[in-house]
Amino acid sequence: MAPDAPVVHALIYAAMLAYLLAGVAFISGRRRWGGAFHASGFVVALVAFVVLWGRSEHLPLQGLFGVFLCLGALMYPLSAFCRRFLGVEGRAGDALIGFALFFPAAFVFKPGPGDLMPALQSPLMGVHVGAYLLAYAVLFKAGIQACKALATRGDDGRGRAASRELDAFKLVRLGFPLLTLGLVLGAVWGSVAWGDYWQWDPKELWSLAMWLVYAGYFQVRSMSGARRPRLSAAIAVVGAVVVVATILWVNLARIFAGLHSYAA
Amino acid sequence: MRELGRAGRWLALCATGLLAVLSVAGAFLGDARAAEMFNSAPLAVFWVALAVLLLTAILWRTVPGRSGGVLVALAGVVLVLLGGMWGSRAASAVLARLSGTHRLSPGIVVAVKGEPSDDVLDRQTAQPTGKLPFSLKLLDFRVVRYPPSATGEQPPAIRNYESDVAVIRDGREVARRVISVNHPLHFGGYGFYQWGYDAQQLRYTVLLTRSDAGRLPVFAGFALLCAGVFWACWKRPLWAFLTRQGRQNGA
Repeated sequence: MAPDAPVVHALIYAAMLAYLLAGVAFISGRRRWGGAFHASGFVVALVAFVVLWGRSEHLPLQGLFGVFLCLGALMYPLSAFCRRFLGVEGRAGDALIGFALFFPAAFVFKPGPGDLMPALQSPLMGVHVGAYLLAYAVLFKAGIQACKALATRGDDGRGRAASRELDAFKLVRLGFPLLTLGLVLGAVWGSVAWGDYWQWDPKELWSLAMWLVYAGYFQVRSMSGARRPRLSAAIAVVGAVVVVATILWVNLARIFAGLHSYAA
Repeated sequence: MRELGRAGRWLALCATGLLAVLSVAGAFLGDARAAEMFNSAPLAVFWVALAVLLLTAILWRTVPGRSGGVLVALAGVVLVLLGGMWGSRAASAVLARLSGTHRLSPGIVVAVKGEPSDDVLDRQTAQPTGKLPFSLKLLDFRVVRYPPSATGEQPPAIRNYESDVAVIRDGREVARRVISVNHPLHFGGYGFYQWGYDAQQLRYTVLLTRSDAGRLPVFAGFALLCAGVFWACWKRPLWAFLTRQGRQNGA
């Protein structure tokens, strides 16, 4: 069944507005208002996702519309988790990133056809794509923290840069296992659906490159310790750029046409 | 030993960087040319060297902090590399030369309704490349469609392709199975995957076949890689959080 786009779109606009107001409230120091707007934006986005799921009768993650809706919605629980368990702040940034993530779902992409193609009908789809989406959101947030570390200047800049780089490290440490799980489950699924766990498809190769960038990040960090926070931060930023390229560029550019082209 | 460990870590970092660059370059080349590049002789040397480097790091425990999780993850990567090498065409050729054991290259089997077939054909040219040690007989083939939509879209989208197949060995039926997308058949060391069909009359099905050699170590490697990475990354912060919670509950 085709998803009911007008209802879902209206909910996405409402979620965008709530996230935007949350970002503004956090920046202007009104934390309680910010928290309320952020939470309500999440609830509205969640309703949009559930409506989309109910109308399409399958987990709506086969196209970029559902992917960006899910990514935007994830920013609230992710922000709360990072604050509570990792001690990593950045609520204003999280709300505004969530707002930006809703943008492609609201204005660029359309909900895909309601019916799933045969290869996508697997219980592995939810876990594989879900693990990747969580990893993307966490690693992108790590990239933002790393950018802050690189941008920190001044007399006490070295200490603050190190502190922000540590936040980025905590986030990469959270996201890398999810990235590994997504990569491995994709290989297992490829083996079941297409007969080979690795087909040298452009999306697979970008995903491998992304995994290797973060593997290199850990290697560099273990070799240089806390002595070179800016070097580690620079690699985390490169990783975030590769994350964006893997989600957007690889799915949209015709030069990367391959087995994953249905995701555009 | 410390110098050896440092050199190994630098080599591993260079290998990681090189592989990342080659992966991006391969993405621009497209899957066919990328597969050619990553299976070329220089890259074969690279894969072997990488496996040796990682094995050395595991055996001499030169990983940073001697982390158990990192060791398990590296063991996983080594298994994936070894499994991939064992399942490769180059390994098949070496095996055939050394022991005379012939492992079929990946290809297709065209199974016509009611007729046992054991011919493996090349995917591009449809020329025979070998014979299976058993036959496959197509009993029935179905194109399963979604129910018609309320908007009256004609015809409804395809939900799956299903081939009812019997495995015949020495003239006797030894197995029967429905092969569909995401539900392959594994029999006698080979996997059979739904690949194509006769769109006009549904008289035959096309199954992709490939040897299962190397599949088990690769999958074991995947499991170890995941376990090791989760262990290395999440164990310490999770343990710290749980002990902090325990202390707070105790107080």
